[in-house]
Amino acid sequence: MRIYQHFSVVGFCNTYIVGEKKGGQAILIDPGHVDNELIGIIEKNNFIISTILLTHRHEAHTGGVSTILKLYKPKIYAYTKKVYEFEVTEVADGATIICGGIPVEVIHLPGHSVDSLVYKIGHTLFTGDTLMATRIGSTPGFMERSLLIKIIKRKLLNFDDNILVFPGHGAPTKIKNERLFNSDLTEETVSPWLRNQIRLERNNRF
Amino acid sequence: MFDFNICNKENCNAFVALDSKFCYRHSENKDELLKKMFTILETQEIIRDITFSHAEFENISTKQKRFSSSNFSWCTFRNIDFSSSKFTTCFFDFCLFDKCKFTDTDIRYSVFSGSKILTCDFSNSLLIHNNFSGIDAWYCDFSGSDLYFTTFCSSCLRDVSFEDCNLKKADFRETEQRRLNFRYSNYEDASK
Repeated sequence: MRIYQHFSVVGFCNTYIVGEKKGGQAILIDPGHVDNELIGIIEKNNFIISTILLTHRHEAHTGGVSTILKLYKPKIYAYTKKVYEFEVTEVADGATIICGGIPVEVIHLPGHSVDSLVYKIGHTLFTGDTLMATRIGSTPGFMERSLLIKIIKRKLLNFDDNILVFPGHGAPTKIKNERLFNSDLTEETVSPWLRNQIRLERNNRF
Repeated sequence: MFDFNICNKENCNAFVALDSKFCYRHSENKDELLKKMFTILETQEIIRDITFSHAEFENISTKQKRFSSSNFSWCTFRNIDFSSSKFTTCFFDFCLFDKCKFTDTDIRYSVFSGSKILTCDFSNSLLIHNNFSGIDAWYCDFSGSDLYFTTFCSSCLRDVSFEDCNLKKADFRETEQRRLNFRYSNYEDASK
């Protein structure tokens, strides 16, 4: 399996292309913006986009869908029936879909948005805006933030240490790294007073 | 992407090394595997889809190589010259880098999380979209580098120079900082 990353300067979103080494049918995850570079990756590797997976409906992650539909005939998967004007195949939490021969597990994690999904393909997680390297997604309020932290811990941090995480924004990571260094996730388990004590102690050591 | 097959050893969840059925740590013929890896590093221009964790590399030059979609977690690199190399989606998490040279490199979408980086030179490099979270860096030089969208969150940085760097969207939250140099850099554009 090959995974290609493309960074879009429109919306600062990562788009991923997942396909086999020999080319053929491929999955496009979160096409935020389509430019020559993205088309170049698809064509150079002889990929035909047969599936689009949307982690959620925000413009930065869906802006390029209409352009892709002009070039290929992919099936679009998302949590809701309709994403803007596009007809979408609805997927639910726990479902496994086969996209061009590649099994994709669907995990629903509301918090950043109600329709936020995480896709698990082999040993990789495509987390959209739910979990990023050392951050969690923004939320409309504290209730949603608390819910998101709980649900990430329950549904994602239980995965194996070596599972790779490819987020919608920023650098990739691994589950172990997030468990140890994601300050948004560790802040709930360590009180601010204790964090400060640890910091003071570390500073005194050097 | 590198092979996601898991080591055949019971309770080991590490990825298999090269074409072996075990990870490097549990392999019966470690020397042979290491020799094979050295040959790849020395002879191949493009190092792609390789997994080799928990190994030790010392005093080799891998100048102007292209590393892509590879996993070198928990490795030790001592006195390695990576200068002018290109790295894309490589995993160097929980490694030890001692006196390594990364000058003029192009490193993108790579993970150095949890690593100990001692006396290493990353100057004049493109370090875009990288994950340096939880690193322990001592006497390192990132001067003249573009660190766009690179995170150093939860890191311990001592005597590290970030002179004349692009720090747009870089992340320094929860870092322990001692004797850092941000001269001529846009530190105000980074998260802290």
